[in-house]
Amino acid sequence: MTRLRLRFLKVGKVRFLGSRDTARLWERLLRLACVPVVMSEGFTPRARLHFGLALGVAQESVSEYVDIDVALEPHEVDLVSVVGRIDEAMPEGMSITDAVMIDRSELSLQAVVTCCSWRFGAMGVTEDDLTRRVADALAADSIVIERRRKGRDVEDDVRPTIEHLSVCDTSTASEPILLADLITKPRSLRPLELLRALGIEAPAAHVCRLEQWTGPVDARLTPLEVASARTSASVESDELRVTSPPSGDQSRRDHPHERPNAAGEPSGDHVRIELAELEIG
Amino acid sequence: MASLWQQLEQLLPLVEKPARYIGGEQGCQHPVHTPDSLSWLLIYPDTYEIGLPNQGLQILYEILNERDDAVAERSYAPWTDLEALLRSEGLPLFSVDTHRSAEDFDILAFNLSAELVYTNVLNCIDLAGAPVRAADRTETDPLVVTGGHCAYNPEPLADFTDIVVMGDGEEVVGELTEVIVEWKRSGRPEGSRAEMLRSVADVAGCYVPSLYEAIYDGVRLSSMQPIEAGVPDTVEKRTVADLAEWPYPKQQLVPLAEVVHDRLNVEVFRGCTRGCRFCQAGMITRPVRERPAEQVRTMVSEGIKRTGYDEVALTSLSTADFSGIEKVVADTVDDETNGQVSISLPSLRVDAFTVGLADEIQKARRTGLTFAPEAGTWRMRQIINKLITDDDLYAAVGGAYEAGWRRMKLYFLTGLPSETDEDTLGIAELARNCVELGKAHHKNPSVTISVGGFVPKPFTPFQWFGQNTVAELQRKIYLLRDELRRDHGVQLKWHDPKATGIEGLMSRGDRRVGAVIERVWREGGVFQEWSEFFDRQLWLDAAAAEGLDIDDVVHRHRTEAETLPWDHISAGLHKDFLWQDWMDSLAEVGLPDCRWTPCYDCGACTGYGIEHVVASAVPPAGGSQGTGQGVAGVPTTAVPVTLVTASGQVR
Repeated sequence: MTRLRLRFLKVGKVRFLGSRDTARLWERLLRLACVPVVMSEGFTPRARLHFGLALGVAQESVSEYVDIDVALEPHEVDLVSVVGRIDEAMPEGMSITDAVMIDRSELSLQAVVTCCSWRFGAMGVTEDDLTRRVADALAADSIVIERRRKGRDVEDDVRPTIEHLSVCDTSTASEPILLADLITKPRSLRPLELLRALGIEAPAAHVCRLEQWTGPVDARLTPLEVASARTSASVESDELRVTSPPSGDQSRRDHPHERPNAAGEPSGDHVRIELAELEIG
Repeated sequence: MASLWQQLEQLLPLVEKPARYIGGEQGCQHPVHTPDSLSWLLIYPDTYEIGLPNQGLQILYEILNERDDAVAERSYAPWTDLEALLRSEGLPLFSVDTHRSAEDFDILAFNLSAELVYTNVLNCIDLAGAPVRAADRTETDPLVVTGGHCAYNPEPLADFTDIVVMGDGEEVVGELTEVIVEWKRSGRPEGSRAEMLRSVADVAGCYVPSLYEAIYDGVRLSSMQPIEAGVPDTVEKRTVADLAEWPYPKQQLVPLAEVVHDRLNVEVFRGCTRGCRFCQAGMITRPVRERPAEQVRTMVSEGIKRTGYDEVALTSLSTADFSGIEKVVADTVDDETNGQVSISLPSLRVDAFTVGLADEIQKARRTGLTFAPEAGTWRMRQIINKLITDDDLYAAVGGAYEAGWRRMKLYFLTGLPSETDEDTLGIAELARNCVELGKAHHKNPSVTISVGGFVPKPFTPFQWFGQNTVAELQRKIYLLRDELRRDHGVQLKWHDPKATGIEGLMSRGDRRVGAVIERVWREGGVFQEWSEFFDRQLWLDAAAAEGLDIDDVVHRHRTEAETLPWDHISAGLHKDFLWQDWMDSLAEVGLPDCRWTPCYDCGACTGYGIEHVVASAVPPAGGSQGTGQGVAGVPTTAVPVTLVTASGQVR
């Protein structure tokens, strides 16, 4: 058995697909791509797929991850071909952007991810207003919001979960862009809860997950980097950054949210791949 | 016209299950609209989850998009949350394929599979920005077209509909397109709409309600009259003679969001001549037209490879009757290129469900097993002409338990003609005995009994029968519930009799029911199929306000002489055949299956010069046990059967 870790994006219309439907879609994609997935035991066998932290309905992501148990030995896996076949079967708005084989002892995505980077747009606020709210939030010692947990209303101080908060230079965009790094452990702050914490009621805000991080804040790595760094069986990732839409398909590329860096990252290395530069291998 | 996606994208984060509205299914099309092509919006007037799998809609979607002179997109009834947002934002209904406004389509075509969706039809027309009444629509408004099984009584929706298509749609949608696209290319001059509709009435299978007038004799309908000379007195249904020529859908839509029947569907035959007297589908879709087994195999294996599904349903009105069904099922599960695929056979008759078939089905994964004895006693089953004995049922159920099934579902109707409480309680008796049979094989066998109130349908021998009242149906269901209270192995489910009562109104009402439907819709009564929205009082109040006597329409036994609201429509069946079958029913006389026995001339074949297309001149192995029909010894020369050879050639 071999475990693969894939990074994929989910943008555009498919952002409205919930995580359960997305998981079902993955099972079908793997059958379409003729990838022999290890099935669970039991009365109704299910494909052994492990996703990271669920993405909310209507949220986009350029950094979703999935671990797939494949019923092949590592030397039997042609990762480039597997990735190519899955990518081919994916609906518009979904694409694989990176892949590695990982060691089976590797911790699950659920376990390793400690922080996520988010981008927010279409919040219905001015840049000045947003800047002021961000400054206030960062200056505050605590930010208490009310939320429902296990059927009860509870009050939580969410300030400790806000790792980073900044407003993008919006000289090229009509609406301000908010960037945030939110801690996921022990309890994550959901993107729309962050907006509420900032006093912004924007249920239709455009939310995009830019990256998921593992490890301590000062030495953080992506789930692929952390696995590659430890796994001797990992394939050179350069070989694998090969999946992108065919050059004739402009629809995926034209989506503004697919170019996270274009919106102005606070530090350019947050997102490792500029999709527009990907070539087909 | 530009896509509405940008506006919709702002609303979808605010609604439940937004994936209903995004399209993007594998197999979806993005047709290019031109001024010279006729644009069809195919609408299923219920939610996406219910409507997407509809094979009829998918077939027409492909056939229309293959034409040079037509484009087709799809739409489904938006849930109430999105509808409210659309209305408050001033946005129209839209297609899920390119998110184009419904206002930009030439035709709004509705699939009518259930009566309680009728108010949704009006809602969708309104959301498309068109007047709901056909008489108020002009040259610039879309045409409203309906089709599907419920359209066989087109009268309740007649005032809202421009064209009703009767029967199989594969051929007629093309003919209809040719007439209407010509009108579109002419620029639709003012006043030309009526003229165009007059031409449509000459297309076989197309009923134009505005060309017929309902004449009343006091409270009763006395006739449906064409309003001008040359308009056909009777509109005949369309029938596709050979299913092999129509291997559709070729690209079955694979949705991203979960829907009902989320699997590959391959239609193995159309039509059924078992002759169950309550079953409208079996009457109006005659004769039996089997798809060649080789084509079924190809459609299954190609479909699985293309879609990635791991389940395939072989669909028809009674799949176990398909010639050589065991071999088709065996070939499908044994074909390694299909991978691990499970097979489901909806609509299984117990007398054709063999142990061999059970073994083949459960090789992959055991899917749910549902049998439909329909009635609790042999007497009752003779009346409805579902000639399966108790022993047939027990043999099938016992075989299924032995093959490993632990639970199964049994469907029953209550409120059938001449039904007594003994017949109703017979349902409990059958269920109990099935559980007992299971105990020989499993510790906790279980049987789910699903009971629906019977709604008499047009073009069946029971079309004259007065439906049981809501109170009577409720009493029978409670009788059954009380009887089964201590039987822990039997779960009882039932369809709300209040909804059954309203279904009856639209099933057999005449044109005057339209005003009631419109009133209910104006009062906000949408999604009446959904128990959380169904409101019987709304219907009763609307009927009272419109002066419609529900009892007279629904619960009264009709006479042989009276005019039925669908007498100007023909499903091929002779009315005197149906009446004779009704009389035979009350005399508890059965009628054999004409696919394997001599023709009794119901009219469906002879009237249209077509025949059964079946690969076997004898019933399936184990079939028709206990029917007393003696089918085995019948000489086949007298049977109007076209034999299909293995290569698909008709000889």
